[in-house]
Amino acid sequence: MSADIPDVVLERYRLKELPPDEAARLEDRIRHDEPLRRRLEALDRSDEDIRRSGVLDRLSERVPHSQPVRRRLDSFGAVPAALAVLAVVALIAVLRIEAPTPGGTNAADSSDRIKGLTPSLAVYRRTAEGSETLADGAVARPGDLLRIGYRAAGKRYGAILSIDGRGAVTIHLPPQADRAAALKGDATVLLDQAYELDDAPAWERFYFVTADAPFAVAPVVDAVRAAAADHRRPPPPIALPHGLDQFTFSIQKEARP
Amino acid sequence: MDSGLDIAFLSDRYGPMVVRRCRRLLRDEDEALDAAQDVFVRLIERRAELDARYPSSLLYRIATNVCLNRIRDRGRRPAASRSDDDDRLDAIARAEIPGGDSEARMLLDWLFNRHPESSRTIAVLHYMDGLTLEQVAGEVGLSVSGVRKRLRKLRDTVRHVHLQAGEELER
Repeated sequence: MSADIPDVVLERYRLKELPPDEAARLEDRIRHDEPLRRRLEALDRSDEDIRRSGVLDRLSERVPHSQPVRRRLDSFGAVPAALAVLAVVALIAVLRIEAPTPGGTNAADSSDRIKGLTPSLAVYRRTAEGSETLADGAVARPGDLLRIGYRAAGKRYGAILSIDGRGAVTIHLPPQADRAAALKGDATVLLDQAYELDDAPAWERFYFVTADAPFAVAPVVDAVRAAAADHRRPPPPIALPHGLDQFTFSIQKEARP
Repeated sequence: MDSGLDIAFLSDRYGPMVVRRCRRLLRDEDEALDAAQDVFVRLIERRAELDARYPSSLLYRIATNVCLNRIRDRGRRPAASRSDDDDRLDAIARAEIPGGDSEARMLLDWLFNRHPESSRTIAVLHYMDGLTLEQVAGEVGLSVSGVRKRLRKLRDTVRHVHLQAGEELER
């Protein structure tokens, strides 16, 4: 069945550049067409492989006066590293919210997500060569500089938060507002600021909460706090009001030797 | 040169698509990367055609064109690496001129001089990628009848070349 959808159509669908009626028809097909979903997943994996390989950094090499992609992909190249770290630390200092004693409710599962059709997070870590993509559950260390990206997958508003092993909540998106941010595009969108992991123990859990309409961030923060009842392990998905969906991503923290 | 385009952004957003397209058509990793770099150079040259709503469309077409030119220029590849798609591609890139000798290349040049580059792209999108005439029309910004006409002209030329080749053989 899926073979009758040309590659270029799937590419443009993923980039959100299909005319709306054609995109709607394709979305309907995707819901019922497993091979088509597998093709989308393969494209997701291919994107990841290409980004990880560093090939994108070389694409603009022959363009006169253009800068390598890393300048944009990797905020670290755009601003002197020390300045970038200072900016990040300052941002985190403003947004860090100390968690009160957690209460403890658990939540609806989002296991019915269809990969490629639902919002998701990508977390990149700065390396000596550039950056690498972290898998869900990957190990990271204090001082690691992370860059968070999201894929809106058609959702219009979103907030990205994380909570660490000390129960401290950080709001990554929106940068400075109490309402969810308007999400952009369909390809992975990188947040402007990098994020330096501190020495909080055990884990850092990220939540990408999305909706089709604007929503307040404060209740989401409360829900994240409430979910973090046991600081020894990452909290489960959070309880959210109707109309809000979530994607979660965890990092295991390991002390630097 | 200031192109007015944010190439870093464009290559980040559309690079994976362009690289995949070049890999699929060229079947050679190094050449695909080389071609993908060419695509962004060509993008600067053709920036006036960029549709802000659908940049992917122009990039996909440029990638297809760049790859077809490379296939045409490099001659036939070893049989071991060939597939049906390769044969179809070569046929389109060379507009189905049989053989790979210098005479065929002269004919090839003659043929390409008589058809716009976009006709080969149209042929690839339709015959190889499987796009319908309507979808091809949307991709290249022509009417369906315009696409049909281009394909018919290309077929007519190929048929004419085949006929001439047959007459040459009979003499």
